Amino acid sequence: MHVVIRTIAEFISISILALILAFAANAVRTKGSIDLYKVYFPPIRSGETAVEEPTRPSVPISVKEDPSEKDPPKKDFGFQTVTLEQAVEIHNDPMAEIKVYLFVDARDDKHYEAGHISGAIQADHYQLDLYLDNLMQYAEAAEKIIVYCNGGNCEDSIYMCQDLEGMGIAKKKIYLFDGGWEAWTKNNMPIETGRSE
Amino acid sequence: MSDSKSNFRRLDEFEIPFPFIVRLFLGGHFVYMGVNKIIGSIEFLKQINLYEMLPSDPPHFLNATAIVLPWMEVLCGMALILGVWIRGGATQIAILLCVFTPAIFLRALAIHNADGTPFLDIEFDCGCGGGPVIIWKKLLSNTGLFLLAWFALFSQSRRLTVAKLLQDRAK
Repeated sequence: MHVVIRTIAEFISISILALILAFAANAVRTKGSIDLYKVYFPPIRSGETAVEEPTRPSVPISVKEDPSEKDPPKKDFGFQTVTLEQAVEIHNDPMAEIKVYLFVDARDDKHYEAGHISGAIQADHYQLDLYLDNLMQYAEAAEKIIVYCNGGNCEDSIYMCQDLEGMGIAKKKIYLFDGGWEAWTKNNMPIETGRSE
Repeated sequence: MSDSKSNFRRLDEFEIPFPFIVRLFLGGHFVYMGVNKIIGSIEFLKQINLYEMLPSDPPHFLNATAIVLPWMEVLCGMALILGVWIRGGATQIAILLCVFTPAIFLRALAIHNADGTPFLDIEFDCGCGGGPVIIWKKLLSNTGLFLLAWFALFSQSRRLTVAKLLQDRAK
């Protein structure tokens, strides 16, 4: 009986110590800190791409064949999407160089620094406070904002689109590049490593 | 129970300090995994969300779990390594393994049912702190870790513990 009580006491002691240490460390760390009250995984709104603009960007696109016509119907995340060809076209436009057409990388530091679409700025949905000033500085002035993450099942770019909309950026300016990093690198498109901002 | 206790005692009395080796291995493993989770806290948060065991809205439970769990692992690991609060640490490790091992199994089963991937080929990052893993191997290793935690819990040996070392020094 004595052993059982002692085990329970030890168990509780470790739990209390872990609670104190965990919240203290979380409070003092600058990167990787988790906000207890933040909804990091908001429900992804779908089927409401109710924007006045056409689903395609208005830059002239010289793609002969629209691959989206061949592909199965894509999921509607409530934002306009761009295909790889359209993303390349926007990227090649001189407006992209001066960030009027802005590429936003919604992945974390490790992935962004390992490689990102050249000229893209980083804005991690999970650490938004750290990127907010830089993001807003460019996003408010931009005419088109192309948001991407890894591609595939990655949802971070969708969360970032929702963040941008929540920050008052007009929805018609926001484009989701759902092929993302995977599609970009598979086709040997220009990339940068490190931090270019 | 008495049989298993006597087996534990036999192992305790071996020349080679088995209980110490078990504590060191198990403790080291959990410290390593816990530290990885603390460093990659956001990645860990994303991973535990994928289990859908806790609601993401309201977020308090999910976020608190991502904050506290890695520290719990580190402290349990440290307890085992140092030989302080061994039973408490071992119990907590056993409970964590009892919760997360079936969760990993169920997630793998869901993948198997969804896209027909052979169960033995299923690989994903289980949020355990070691990156993507082949799931059947993870399930096997977790079972092994559970048995080691069980052994640490019932072992009565206090060789090479901080308390024992201090006691010997005082003498």
